[in-house]
Amino acid sequence: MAEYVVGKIDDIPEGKGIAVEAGRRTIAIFRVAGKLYAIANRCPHKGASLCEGEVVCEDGIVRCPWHHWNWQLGDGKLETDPRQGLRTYPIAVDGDDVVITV
Amino acid sequence: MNIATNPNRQPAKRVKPNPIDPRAHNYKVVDTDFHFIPDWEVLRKFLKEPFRTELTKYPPVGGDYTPQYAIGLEGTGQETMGRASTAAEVLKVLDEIGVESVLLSPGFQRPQSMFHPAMLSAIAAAYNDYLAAEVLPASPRIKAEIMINHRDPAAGAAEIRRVAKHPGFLSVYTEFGGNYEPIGTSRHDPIYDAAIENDLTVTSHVGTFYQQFTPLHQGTRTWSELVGISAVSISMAYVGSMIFQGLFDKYPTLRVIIKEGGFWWLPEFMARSDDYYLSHPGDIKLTERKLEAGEQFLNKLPSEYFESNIRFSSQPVCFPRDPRHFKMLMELCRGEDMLMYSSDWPHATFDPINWAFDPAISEEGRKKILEDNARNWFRRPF
Repeated sequence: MAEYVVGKIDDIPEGKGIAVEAGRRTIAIFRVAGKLYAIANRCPHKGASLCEGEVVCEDGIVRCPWHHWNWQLGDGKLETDPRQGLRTYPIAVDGDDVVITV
Repeated sequence: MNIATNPNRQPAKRVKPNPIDPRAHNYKVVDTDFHFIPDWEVLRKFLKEPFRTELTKYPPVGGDYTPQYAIGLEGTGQETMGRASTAAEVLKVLDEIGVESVLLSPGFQRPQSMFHPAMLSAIAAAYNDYLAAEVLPASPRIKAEIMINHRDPAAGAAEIRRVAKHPGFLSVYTEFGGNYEPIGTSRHDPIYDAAIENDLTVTSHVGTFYQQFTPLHQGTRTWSELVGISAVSISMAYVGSMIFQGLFDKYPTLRVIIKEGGFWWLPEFMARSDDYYLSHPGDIKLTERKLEAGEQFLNKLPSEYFESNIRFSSQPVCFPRDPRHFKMLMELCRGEDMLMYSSDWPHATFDPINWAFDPAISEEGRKKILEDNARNWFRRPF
């Protein structure tokens, strides 16, 4: 387990993703209705970058920009078939820093 | 966990990941289905009168199909990834998606569904003239299909002969869809005559999803039924018409590409075709081409025509749930020989090259799918 500082809270736009490299992993970071989420960036369907996806509801779902697979940011599960899931990572605010644990 | 006290905390690097597999650059990738959508005002300059004066925008055709709402606010799903209307815009996208050379398909598929024959023929001619004048000369990376009105085979053949001298045109574009007869019937022979005469491949791309015209489509409610599944069943029917009505016996050197019609169906089609043909070949001699030639049977078994006459563009490659089955399907369908990569950019069903790096595909097969199968299938230099 390693901790990475993503940036300041204001570096993460509301309702729009960014991507960071933490070690060998590429992780998409979202802030939706004030809540932070960290999820594997690569959609396993065809490889799109989820950080480019649209946040489609305040419940925290990111819609893949290519084929609209809806991933739940909270638990990483695919909305239509929750047996499929992406890895999510703990994310927290510590002072000014947003920190993910990978 | 007390994150405040962790002294080993490192900065994460902000990145903009490229979702296209970087190994694309090890290949000179050929994309056999990239939809080119000219701006109407540009196309209009090439449109002959009186259509130029009367048509101030793309003419309305066919009507919408019910499940369009499913893919969001962009409408038909035909511009989900963007829009390329000029050679410069095409080249920019090719660089982004890891493609070296492209075969442009007429991207505004709806005009091809219109029932106004003179108007469609005029639009097709304007499209071909625009490509020949401004798009094909811009780069050797760009090749194109000839747009025709395939519902009027004589007019379609005339259009092929009119523009075929331009070496940038490699093939003739037709569509398969619910409100039109299969393209393998003999009344389309003028198109095949013109194609053969000019060393052009003929493609048939899924299209014309206008469900209001057919009982099959009237019974569909969802995007998956209409765009997903009916495309497969209709492409099978089209290939059936080509094989069983003697198209490839009359034109043994004809090369066809089925685009966006699926291909995992090949094992069923091949085995069933051979079985039914061998059991009931009596009606073959009654089909128009065979009557004309005075022939009793097909020259080969139905399944054997795939090797000699038919290939498939790859998109959309759909992975079975069990990943082991992907390798089995590739083997059963001889995917490394029968498939040529296609992106379908900019449609909602865009398929980047990433799947071609699945370890189930051999190194040699990957090169064939991404480069050689397409380059070798066209009779003109790609």
